[in-house]
Parts: sequence; structure tokens; C-alpha cells
Amino acid sequence: MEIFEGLLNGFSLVLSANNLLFVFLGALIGTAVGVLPGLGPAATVSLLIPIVYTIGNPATSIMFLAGIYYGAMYGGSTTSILLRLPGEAASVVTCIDGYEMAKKGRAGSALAISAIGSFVAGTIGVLGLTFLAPFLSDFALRFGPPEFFALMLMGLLLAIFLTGENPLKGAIMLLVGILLANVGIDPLTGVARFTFGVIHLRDGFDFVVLAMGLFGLSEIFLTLEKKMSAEFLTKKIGKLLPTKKEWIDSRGAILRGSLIGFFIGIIPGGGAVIASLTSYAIEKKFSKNPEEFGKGAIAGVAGPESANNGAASSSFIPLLTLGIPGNAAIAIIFAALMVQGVTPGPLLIIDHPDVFWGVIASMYIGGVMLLILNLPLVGLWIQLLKVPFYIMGPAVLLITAVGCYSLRNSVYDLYLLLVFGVIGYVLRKLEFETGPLLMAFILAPLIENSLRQSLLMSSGNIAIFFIRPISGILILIFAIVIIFRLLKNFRNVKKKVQVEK
Amino acid sequence: MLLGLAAVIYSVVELDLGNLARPGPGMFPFLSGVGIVVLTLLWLGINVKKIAKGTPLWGKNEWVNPIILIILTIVYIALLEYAGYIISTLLFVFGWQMLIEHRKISSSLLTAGVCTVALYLVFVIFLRVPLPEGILNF
Repeated sequence: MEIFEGLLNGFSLVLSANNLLFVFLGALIGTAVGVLPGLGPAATVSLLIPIVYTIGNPATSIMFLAGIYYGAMYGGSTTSILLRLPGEAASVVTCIDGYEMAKKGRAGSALAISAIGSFVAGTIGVLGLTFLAPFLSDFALRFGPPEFFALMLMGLLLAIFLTGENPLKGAIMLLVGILLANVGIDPLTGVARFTFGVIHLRDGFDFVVLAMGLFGLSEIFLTLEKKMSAEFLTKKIGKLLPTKKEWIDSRGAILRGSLIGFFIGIIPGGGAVIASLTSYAIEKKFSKNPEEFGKGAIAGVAGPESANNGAASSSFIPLLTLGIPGNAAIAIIFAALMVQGVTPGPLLIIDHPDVFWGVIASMYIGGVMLLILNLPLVGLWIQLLKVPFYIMGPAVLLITAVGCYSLRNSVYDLYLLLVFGVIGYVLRKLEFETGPLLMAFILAPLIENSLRQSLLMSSGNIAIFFIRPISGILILIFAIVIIFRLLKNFRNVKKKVQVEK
Repeated sequence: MLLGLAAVIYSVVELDLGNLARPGPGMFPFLSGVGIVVLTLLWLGINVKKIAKGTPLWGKNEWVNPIILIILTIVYIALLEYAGYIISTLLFVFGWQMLIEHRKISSSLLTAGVCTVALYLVFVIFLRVPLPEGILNF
């Protein structure tokens, strides 16, 4: 019953005019971000952090940021289907069959199915979140420093092993993130690290500036290299209502996609991209007519789109219950909460029930808003793509700059922003992912503290991480995942060698 | 490609020296520093052939626009404190339109004006963000 009471309180909180407005704004901005290629949810969430500071209320601000995150998953499908241009990474597979459907004049039903699938999956995800999260929080209360250390380390490493094309590069980024986080005064001893006598460096780097530079600014640099012009390939959207056959074809895909998304989203590093890829692969495998895939199979749209939204909702589970962000965008939300004095983790549900239940309730309402925003207003979102880059570019850059400046009214932060922007740009040119860097940067102080506390507890005995049952099991699971991944790599290399022969 | 790696390795060398002097707070950065060195070497080892082949990072003229923007942004930040938000933003957007997009003077001016005013309205009037006023007091 506690769950219902909490949820009810959450709803009464969300239904205030102010909170509704911010949930709506979040969903609106999220959809816009999803539609626009390039700007991803992580970049946008970081751009809007300064606005969150002016909101002042942690519950309202997380509703707003969460809205942007799952809104982007919705919006991404629109451009994939109509223009074969994935608005964000999780919608890449939607391009394949979605665009084929659009060519056949069935864009309307593809859009409708993906919106409906997203809604169903989002709702299933939030339902799972509602019932699973309190139990997980309860469980995690038993964690001590060694467990948290094992959990966070596992979360970060899983993130690079699962998402990255190249785990080695991911690991390097991870360590660089930790190093960057170490700049400034050491919280345990008060010793200044890596400051080289520069006063500005004593406070360390602000994660907002880092995130804005790595994700926002570097994106602008990348876009400037090539003149992008969105071609409008699809003229007619066609009827929105899917036919009876399309319904039957996509029903199962939506359900399967929702479940796949939900479970993959819970795993740190799982996230929406893997969820949508997995769902597509599964739909193709189990389809009665797999030859239709790639030629406009509606299940190839319904499954992945449901999966990425399911994952978007369920990726809040580790954040709200364990305090572990599963991907870069969630990590920024995590940091935004920390700055406002709210520490996500097992104590969240007890200390800040308004934040915990508020964000869950806001997701139910946000889901409905997104359905309304996306289906009838599809035409409007396509207009957004016609805004030329010579206006979008300066506008985004200036918003970033002003937001960054407003953090501390300091020009120094602006130079730092530029430096991080250039670093992010070069790293992305080298095909290093900046996500793990930011996640490690945000988690590093927590990891370092739990490591040092654990070592104090055991007076320097590393065995503490293996003997304690929970942390021992976590490390074991992680070891198994890595071994599997390495075996897979090994097999791939073997295959390649055989092919070459 | 090598440039980025050199930077990483250089920073690690710098770090290791700093850490050995004060073991307590330096332990964590030391561990990650060592990790970076090992992993970068590993990565270099695996990719030695690829790097030797040397596909350039930037295609023909690809680097021009980003460099222009970096310079523009530095000028913008430097101007911001002295000339204030309105003047420097006008100049920045105007410069972007002329140098990067190669548009006509008239349309560049128009875009610069609209951008500056629109952002001013949103940030200063609506969100009340204090922006540098500069010499003209606005």
C-alpha cells in the first residue's frame, strides 16, 4: 500500500500548475531535441542545467530534465521515418524500415505505431519503475562503502563494455574522466591536487561546463565541417491510422520491445541504443516473414521504438534506487540533483519522497503529453528542421555561453567551456566516446570516497571487496560479463582470419 | 592522431611525479594515471598498423570553419567583459554569418540583430540572468 500512497502523493505534486508546466516544457524541448539531428539528450540536459538552478526546487527540476530525456526518445523516430535521418542514436534502426514505409506512402502509420509503441513501452517501464524501485531501494540500504564501490565500478565498466564499439577507448576515457574530477581540493584531506597554483582550479571543474563543452560545443564544431542540408524526401505522410493488418503485425513487437527495453534499461550502460538494436534483431529473427525486414516491415519500427522508450523509463531505476547513472544524460540529471542537495540513492525514497514519487508520477503524465505532442503535431516538428544552421548554430552556441556564464558570472568559465569544447571535438574526431568520460567525472568523487572508506574499514586489505557477499557477487557478475565479451571478440577475430584465408 | 595520445601520455608523466610526493590524496589519481598509460600503450600497440597508414583526421578544408569559430569565440569572450553583451554578441553573430556562412552583409546584419535581441529578451528579461553590461550600460 505504501507504493500507492507514494504514487498518489507524487501525482498530487505533479498536478500543480507549476510542475505541469515544467513537465510539459520538458516533453516539448525533448521532442524538439529528438527531432533535430545532432543535439542529443545529454547535450540538451547539460545546456539547460542553468535554467534548472533558477527553478530551485529539486522535484520540479528532475521532472523537467526527465521530460527532456524521454521526450527525445519519442522525437527521434519522426525524422528517422520521414527523412531517414536519426534524430538521436537510439532511433538509428528505425530508419531502416521506417523510411521504407514512408516511401510506400505509409509514413502516417509508421509514425502512429511508433508513437503508440513508445507510449505503451513508456507506461510499462514506469509501472515497472513504480513497483520495482521501492524494493531495490530497500535492498540497497544494506550497502556499505565496499558494496557501493563495487557497484559503481561495475556500472561504469559495464557502460563501456556494453555501449562502446571499443571498450579499450572507453576505458581510457573513463580514466581521463576520473583524473579531471581529481582536480581541486581533496575532500578528505584538504590537499590541493593538480592546481599548479592556479586559484580557479582549486574548486575543480564544474560538471556543467564540462558537459556543455564535451557534448554541446563539440557538436557545433563537428557540424561546421560539413554543410548539412536536410533534404525533404517524404512529401506525404499519409493516413495516420494503421490498418488492421499493421496492428496485428506490430502488437507483439510492441510488447516484446517494451519488455526488452525495460530490462536492458535497468542495466547500467544498457540504455536505449542497445535496447532498440536488440529489439530489431529479435523481431527479425522471430518474424514469420523475415524477408520483409528492410523493406518496410512495421514490426521493425514498432519493436525498436518501443524498446528505446522502455529503456528510457527503466534507466531511472538504478538512478533513483542505487544512485548509479546508467548513461551520460542520466549522469547529468544525477549531478543536477546533487548540486541541489539531493543525493540520488537508496535513501532518496525516505529523505526526499517528493523527488522520488514526483518524478515517477510525472512520467505517467509526460507520456500522455508526448502522445498528444507527437501525433497531431508531426507537421510542426518537421518545420523545425527547416530552420537553417546559420541561425541554429549561433543560437545554440550563445545559449550555451550565456548559460555557462550565468553559473558563476565568470568569464573564466567561458574559456574553460571553449577548451572542453575543442577537446571534445578532437576526441570525437578520434572516435573516442565522451559519454564514459563525463560519467566517470561525475561518479569519481563517490568512487574515490567509497574506496578510501572501504580500505580504512579493512585497514588496507583489498579482500574486503571479495569477501562481503553483495560486493563479491557484483564483482563475479562483472567478471562473467567481461569474459563473455572477450570471448566474443576473440571469436570475431578468428572468423575474420578465416575469411581472409 | 598521435597528437592526442602524446597529450595523454604527457599529462600522465606529469601526474605520476606529483603523486609520489604525497601518497594519501594522490593514490586515486596515481592509479588512474597508471591505467591511462597502460591502456594507451595497449591501444597504440593494437592500432600501430592503422596509424602508420595515416588517414588524415581532417579532410580537405574541413578544419577551416571550426578554426574560424574557435577564434571568433575567443574574441567574443574577450570582448564580453569590456564591450558588454549586446555589442559583442552582435559582432559575434555577424562574424559567423560573414566568415563561416559567407552570406550577404545585409542578411548577416539582420540575423545578428534578431539573434541578439531574441536571446536578450529570453535571458535578461524573462529569466533575469545578469549579463555583462560593458561600457554602454546595457
